[in-house]
Amino acid sequence: MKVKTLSLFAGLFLVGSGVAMADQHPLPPNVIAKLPPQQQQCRVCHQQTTPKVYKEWARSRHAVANVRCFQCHGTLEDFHKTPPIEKCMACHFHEVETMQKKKPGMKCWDCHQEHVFQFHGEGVKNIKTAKDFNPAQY
Amino acid sequence: MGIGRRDFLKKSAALTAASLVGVNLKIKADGIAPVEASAGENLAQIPEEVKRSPAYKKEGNIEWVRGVCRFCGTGCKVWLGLRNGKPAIIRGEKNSQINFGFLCMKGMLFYKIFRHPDRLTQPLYRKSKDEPFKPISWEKAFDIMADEMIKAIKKGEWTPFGWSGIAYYGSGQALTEETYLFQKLFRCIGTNHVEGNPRLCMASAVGGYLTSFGTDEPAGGYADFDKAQTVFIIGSNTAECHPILYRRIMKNKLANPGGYMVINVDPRVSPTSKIADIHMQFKPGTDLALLNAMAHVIVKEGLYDKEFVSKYCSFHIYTKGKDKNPLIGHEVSFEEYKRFLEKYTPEYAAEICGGNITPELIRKVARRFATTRTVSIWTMGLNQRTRGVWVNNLVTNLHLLTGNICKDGADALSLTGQPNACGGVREGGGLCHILPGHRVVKNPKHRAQLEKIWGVPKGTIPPKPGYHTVKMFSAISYTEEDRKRFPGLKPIHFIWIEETSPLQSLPNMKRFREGFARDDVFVVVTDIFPTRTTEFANLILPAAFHFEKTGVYGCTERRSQLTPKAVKAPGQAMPELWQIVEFAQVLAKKLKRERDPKLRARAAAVYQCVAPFIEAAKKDPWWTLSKEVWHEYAQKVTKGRDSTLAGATYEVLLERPDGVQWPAPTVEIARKGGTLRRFVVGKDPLATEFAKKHGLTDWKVVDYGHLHKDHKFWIWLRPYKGPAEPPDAEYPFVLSTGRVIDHWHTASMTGRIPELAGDYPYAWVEINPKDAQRLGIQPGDLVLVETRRGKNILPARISTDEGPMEGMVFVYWYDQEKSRMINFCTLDAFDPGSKQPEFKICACRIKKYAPAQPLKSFLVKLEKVRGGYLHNAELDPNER
Repeated sequence: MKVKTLSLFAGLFLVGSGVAMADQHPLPPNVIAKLPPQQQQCRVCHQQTTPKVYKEWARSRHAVANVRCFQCHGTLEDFHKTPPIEKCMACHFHEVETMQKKKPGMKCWDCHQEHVFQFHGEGVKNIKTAKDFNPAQY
Repeated sequence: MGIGRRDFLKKSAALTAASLVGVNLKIKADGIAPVEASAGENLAQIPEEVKRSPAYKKEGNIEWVRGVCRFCGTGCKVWLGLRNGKPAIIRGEKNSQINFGFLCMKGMLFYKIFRHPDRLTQPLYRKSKDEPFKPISWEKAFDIMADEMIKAIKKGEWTPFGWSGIAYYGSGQALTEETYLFQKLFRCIGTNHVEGNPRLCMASAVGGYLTSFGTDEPAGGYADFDKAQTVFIIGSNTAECHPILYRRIMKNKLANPGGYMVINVDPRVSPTSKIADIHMQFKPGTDLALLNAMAHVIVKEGLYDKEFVSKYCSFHIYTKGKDKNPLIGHEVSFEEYKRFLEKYTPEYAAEICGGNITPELIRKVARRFATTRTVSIWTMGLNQRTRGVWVNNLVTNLHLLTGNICKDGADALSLTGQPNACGGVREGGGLCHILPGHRVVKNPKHRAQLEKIWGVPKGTIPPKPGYHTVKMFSAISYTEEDRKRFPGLKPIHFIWIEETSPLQSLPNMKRFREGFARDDVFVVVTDIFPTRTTEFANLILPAAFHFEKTGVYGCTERRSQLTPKAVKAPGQAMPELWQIVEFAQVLAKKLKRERDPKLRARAAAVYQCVAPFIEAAKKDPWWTLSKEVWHEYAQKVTKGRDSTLAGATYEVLLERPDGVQWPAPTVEIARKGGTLRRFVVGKDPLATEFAKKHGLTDWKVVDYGHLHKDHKFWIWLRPYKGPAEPPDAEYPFVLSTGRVIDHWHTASMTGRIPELAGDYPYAWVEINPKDAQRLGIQPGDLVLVETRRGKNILPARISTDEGPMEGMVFVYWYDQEKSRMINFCTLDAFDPGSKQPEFKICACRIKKYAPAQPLKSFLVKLEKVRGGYLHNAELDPNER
């Protein structure tokens, strides 16, 4: 693990070597493909299977800004249980760069709780749903 | 010709089997250049001038080139990274005032389609649409095209809008240089049949700005989100369709939850409402009443900005039959406007609007709008309507009344859907009635100016506008109904379609698809992937993708940004600019040999059209050619116009981390980013000069729109009018359509990015839970959606968190699978002013069709068959 993260730091400037090997999703892709459409979306299935994780994400800024499971964890075919930190760099390149310079090997979620991504608190308060606006119709 | 019966049966059996087991058939295409780069191949092809600029850097084994994202109208600045010479990573530009380094899922993943195996890499031709395509050379392709075009010209006739038999249909995703040169070519050939998909997306906003400001495009920009106190979102699912702008709104909201108010106005609760303080949910099509009622409250309670209204605004109405020009109408007094508003009491509007709209809610929102700095944003919910122009005016009215414009944190900002609908099509002259540089076809002075710049004979540009989109495609389908609808309609026999898929994106498209299948219409499609439109082509021309060529995109806020060439295009794919220049030379030669003097006379104009670019096209079509076309457009065509980009040279555009906002008349102004706030004396160089010239010494803002001779902004009296096809007993639901964040339009690109295709492999129909319960529909059930025009079978999405109000269903339009292509069902009624179709509202009925089950995802692809290539859709009887 240490070797991997060290190479990742080097990879910031020679990016390419740091991508972790893909993991196997617990439910194989061919089984998921046979599910009805609604249950094929990560967030729909995980609302049932990992409700805590789902709730954490659903209340995060990421969720409000439409950052979805696959942007960090990849697809079923290229699945990463722990996301490679390069995935964060599409939007947070400079933050990751600074962090790696100051503390090599560190990950965003060492401080910002994973899925919630906040120092303190449990995410965005008052996320509204249709029921809040028009209870008679939902 | 054609494929053999055995081949056909074998192929369809294999396809069916493959679809059942969910396997993608990969048939190697013999004869077509391979697209996948070999392991050691270096695809980096970066012009020297770019390498010397701030738009390039090298870090280790990654070369970075800076350009702009092409997956919505926001204009996010991106760095494309080539690792060991292959596109491998995308990150945001931190110093960009647009996205500040952030990207959405489409922006961060599009590097995956550069070398996708489905890329079109060679010109493909077939004489008849029953035959397979055969690879041909570019020379042969241009030769055939020119012959077919001349044939089509001869089949048609000469009219006040030029040759009736030929047409060009472009895109809000084409580069500015491309749209500019395409329209120049077609005007020089002698036709105003020049249209593009922005007619389906932005036309009503253009009509709105033209009538309210006297000139197109907004006064402010995105920076206003940070200074605003209220964001009024109407007819826009910003969270999904402009995610990076929504992130900015979210950031402001979360930083100041009590002081920053987000109001979302939409019959459907979308993810945009997650952070909203208020969601106004009204019956589709009743927003004109709602907005007039807000104006009623503002005027009645004296909340309007008296100084701004009396000094800088006047009131106008258009009365059909009485007024000559609908863009001008006639002026009325403020008193008359007040009398007009009398009827629109909050009580009256609430009654019409239904949903959760109450008189008190209208009053509350109107007061907030008037008493805080407010930015309004909207997109298709307002534009894709039969009264799209009116409803655009009504939003701008609220800003003019309350003085919420031309100052920090206040603007009426119409968001563009596509990356270059503004810059390319609106400014570049890509519609039948407009010419580049905010000129119009009907104005003889404008035509003469361009003819002089282009060095073509006076009278080259025909004096009347060509056909708008629905009429243009009706001139191809040419059914009895079409001819009845458009009296005097003349058929089109040749069309060149660029970077868009109208046979998936046009409303009520069944007859268009049938028309395109006929052999008396020669169809040329320039694209990067097979689409639902290439399916009906005679000639498919492979184009270079974004970053494989060079050019400018102009986004929502009048901002132009350059994307330079960085990646080698696959196979024989070439930039459109090169295609135009080469084709025009072949055409000119052939026209010269024609007997008809009228045709022969066009040869010189066609040659002259591309003459300045022939050398560049030969030497360097990837960079120099674009630079020279941009030079002509920016330095000569926009110079002296309100959309001037004369200062925005390629050098400046390479330097700037976020492009240049026009007016940018000089390099000095462009280097500072151009003009953030339009119409403000002291801030907008054109306004300053205009006020001085006209002696308006004490004016702080001045509307220099060419249509407004009083130099004022116009508040329009626009009555409430409902949709073209309201629901009734037979079709009791309202059908509305839209997008999801993952997919871009017809999904020909995003459908090939595994992450995005995996998240949304199919379209859905969103149904209100109360309706679903009543009709016995469970989540995931297949639902039959029927309108008077067609039907779809779609899985149901039912949620109490989001979704449409009762009596309404909402369908995504990206799916290429025939039974889920919702534009078979939508309505092609259009706004009489903007000619934009009413995608957002038509009547439908729904019922449960089958229980939830796995579905087959579908993308149009080319398959090798005996004698050439056919689209999988042409081989599968269910998809044809």
